[in-house]
Amino acid sequence: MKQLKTAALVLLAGLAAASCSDDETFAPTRYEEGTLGAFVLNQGNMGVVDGSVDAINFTDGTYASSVFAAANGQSLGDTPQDGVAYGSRLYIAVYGSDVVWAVDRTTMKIEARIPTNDPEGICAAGGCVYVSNNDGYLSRIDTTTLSVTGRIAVGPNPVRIAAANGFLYVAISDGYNYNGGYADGKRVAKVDMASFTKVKDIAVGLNPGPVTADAAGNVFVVCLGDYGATPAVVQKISPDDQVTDIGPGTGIAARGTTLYVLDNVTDWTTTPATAVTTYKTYDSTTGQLTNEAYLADDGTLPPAPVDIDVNPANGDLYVCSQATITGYTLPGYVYRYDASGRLVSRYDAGVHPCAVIFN
Amino acid sequence: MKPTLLSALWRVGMALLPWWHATPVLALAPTGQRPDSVLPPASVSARRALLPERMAVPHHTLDSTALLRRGVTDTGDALRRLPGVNLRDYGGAGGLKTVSVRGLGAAHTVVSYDGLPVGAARQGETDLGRFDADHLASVTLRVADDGRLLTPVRTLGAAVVELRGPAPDAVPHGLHGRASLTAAAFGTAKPALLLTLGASPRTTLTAAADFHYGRNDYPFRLRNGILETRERRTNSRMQAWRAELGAMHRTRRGGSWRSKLYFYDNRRRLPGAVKLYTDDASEHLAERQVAAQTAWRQRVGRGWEVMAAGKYATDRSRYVDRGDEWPGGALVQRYRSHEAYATAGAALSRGPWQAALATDYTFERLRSNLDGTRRVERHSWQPALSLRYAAGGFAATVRLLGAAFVNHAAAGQKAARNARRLSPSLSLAWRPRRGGLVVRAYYKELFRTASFTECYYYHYGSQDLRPETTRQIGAGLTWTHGTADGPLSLRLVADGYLNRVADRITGIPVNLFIWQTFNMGRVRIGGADASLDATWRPARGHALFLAAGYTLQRGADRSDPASASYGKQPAYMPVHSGSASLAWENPWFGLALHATAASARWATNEHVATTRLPGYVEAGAAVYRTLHAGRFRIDLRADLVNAFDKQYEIIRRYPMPGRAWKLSATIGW
Repeated sequence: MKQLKTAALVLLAGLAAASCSDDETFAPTRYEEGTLGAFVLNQGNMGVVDGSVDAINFTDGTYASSVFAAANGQSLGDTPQDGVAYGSRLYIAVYGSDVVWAVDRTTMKIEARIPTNDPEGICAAGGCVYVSNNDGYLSRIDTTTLSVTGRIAVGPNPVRIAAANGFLYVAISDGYNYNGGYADGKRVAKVDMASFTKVKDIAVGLNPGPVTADAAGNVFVVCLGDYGATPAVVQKISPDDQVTDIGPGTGIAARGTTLYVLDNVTDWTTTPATAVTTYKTYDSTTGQLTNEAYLADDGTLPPAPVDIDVNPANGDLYVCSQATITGYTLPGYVYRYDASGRLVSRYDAGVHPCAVIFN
Repeated sequence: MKPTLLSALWRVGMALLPWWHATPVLALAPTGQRPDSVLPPASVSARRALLPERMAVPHHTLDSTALLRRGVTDTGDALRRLPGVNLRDYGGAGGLKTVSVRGLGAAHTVVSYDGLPVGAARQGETDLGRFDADHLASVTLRVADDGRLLTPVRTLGAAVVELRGPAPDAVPHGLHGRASLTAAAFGTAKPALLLTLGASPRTTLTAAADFHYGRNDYPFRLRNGILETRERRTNSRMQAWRAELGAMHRTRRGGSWRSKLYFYDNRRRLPGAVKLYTDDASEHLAERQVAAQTAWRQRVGRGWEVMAAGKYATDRSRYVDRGDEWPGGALVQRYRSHEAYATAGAALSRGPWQAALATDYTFERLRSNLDGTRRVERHSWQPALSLRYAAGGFAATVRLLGAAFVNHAAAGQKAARNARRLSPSLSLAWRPRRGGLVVRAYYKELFRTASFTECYYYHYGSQDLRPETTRQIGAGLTWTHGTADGPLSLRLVADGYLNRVADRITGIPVNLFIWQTFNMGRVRIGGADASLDATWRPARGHALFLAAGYTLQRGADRSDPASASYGKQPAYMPVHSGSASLAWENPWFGLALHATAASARWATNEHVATTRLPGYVEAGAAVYRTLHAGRFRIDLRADLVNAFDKQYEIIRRYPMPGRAWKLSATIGW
């Protein structure tokens, strides 16, 4: 019965999915994200461990590993970076394989393989899926034809994308210019979704990467710094493009007007290396710190967190973590905390879990 | 998460591979008529009875005859026929090839070419692929010690691969030559010319040149779950030139003076690791080396011998990865390295005692267009004192190696930590009065310094590294029966060992984006090697040559009991590996059948479930024949490589070539 209901929903969603070029104000029918489950993206290691997708099922509480490979009999590809659930599908950007997969959100069956060069960040809005390409472009994927219908230059080494206020905000890192101090980065490209043109660059800190938006149209960006003297910092871009500092942080997530900030700083001078990790929350509209230790160090904290995500449906916080600080090549974990900060589950993920996508 | 830098990182990781192409250095063989203290390496095909001091050292030589009879088709193939060797081969003629011996790691393998060490300051490892087995006179592996007491100190490595170039020791008076042409699958053509002039009874001049062109675009099957596709390596073309000029003068009393000029140029594209669903290989590597060297060795007075040698080598390399992800549309890394090297020493023999003192000085400089290695330098001073007692059937050799390293870096760059070390070694051999048995044991300590990349590479290198140390203990035996010319001859070499590597220099992730080198690891390796060489001459004109080798390597990471790799076999080290070949020579032709095998390996130290590489057996065959026409000698050879088209990988995502052919013709006069 449940399956039937799900199938009907999927059918509806599929029918409703429309091309952004037809009607930019149209948004496809969608699930309320975070009610069915979540996908975990495991990056793997280039050339050694393939990337994979795991699935958490909220209904029966199960965790299924490598669901893409199981459903399709083939590998996801090399070093997936980001994914988005939209309409009836899950879209996964697989950097090393130069591909965005469009798969059925329920069955994980491949619907389309969309070739695009070095896809990094992915975001869905207004009936379209947008992908940043590491070679300096932003590509637009039509969700009816499942093909790339447009591409604009945004700046060197674009990373993550967020949609707000009818615009896309793309972090421009110039990350491959590490010898040149990331000089051509330090900005967020603002792209008008309707015309698919870049409107302006918004100056931010050094080496911006993760980007997210809150319910009030504020955009937050993590400027990762240079992994040395310049530490990672979170900045806020208001709807009128004013940039302010929020505080130190290496990972962000937003729900409503709450901003969740992960700050993970490792001290490599000790043996073994030690990390100082904080989980804070801020009021995303005022930028005020609202909780200094959202997750308290009660022995349940992840050993080497790399990413946080928040379930839009209920506020559960998910932390992707390596098994150890140096466990880059090992299967990692996803820690799940409820809205009060209490550990609910620890899932055994694949090698290097890097993102949680809510279903 | 945080993809850009991360992807930059794996790009850099990929790019690190080509940087491992190290500096070859041309050397000059200091052994002319081979005075007693300069013993030739014991050869598996040697025809003379072996002396105990040589047999104290478990070593293996493949000379050009052995390379032929075993059907060896390239340098990587030659190396993996040697027991104790674990070859890392990235596939194809242009693919990086390094060897780790007895689990020590490739950076502990010293490569020497014609007697002097090949510099590898930048990457620490030498790409053996740049030496073409078709033009080598011999390949020797030495592990425990060198049979020669007086030898350049840098050739006393934890493990030594000794290569001999094409120039012969001596030729008859007049001009002689050898011209060859090799054609092989995947667009390979290799012409070569060697000219030797016997200018006087004591002086030989040599000129050699060869060219290697290969498309290397071999097909392979890519398995991806239920999908299996036929693919081809792309972006794999290479063309290489090599030229040598040499002069050798044999002095009175068994001395020699050899000089050589060497030029090498290789331009190749790098196919990189196979990626699923895409093929966007775009890397290029151009390398050029010029080297000059001279070496002199002479017996003087009563029981004295002296040697001196010097070398200068300069190496340029330019790595380019084109792509709009890089600033300016390409990643360009230019390196220029210089090496100046001198060695001198003296040895004295008195009755059963022999002593030798030698000292090496090396200056290495690396310049590049990259932060961190704009200009870095290292001075090394390495003396060695060796003492041997040999009487009756017993020989004992003690060596004490010293080393001091002083590092400098350009202003603004912290120099790497300086280092000093003392490394002792002891080897014992005993031959009972009767029977062709020799038993031996050894203990040896050695170390390697961090390479310039490990010290300085941007966001990867650390200037605080200490040397990585090795301790080896082993025992073995050699048993010989009959003589090579007799109806039946056998030679069995078997060794067991326990090796430890400490302060291992390991790159570990500092965060998601940056890896850095640390002295982190310990590895323990226990193993055994055995090899059997047999010759049987059942009838006049007929001979059978059997060569078989087996290697057992049990490695265990002993770094951190809490880590997932603790106690596990290190990545890419097979527990079992071996090879066998059988050749039949008759009045009409020679036929060699051969097979090489390795058991399953892991591509990760942690044995992540999906990273197991299955074992493989690769088989091949060679047919060869020699014709004589007047003063000309013509050698013809045809090879069938990987006869059963076995698809396998030595390094994950670097497929090895499948079935292939190779034809060569050589005319000599």
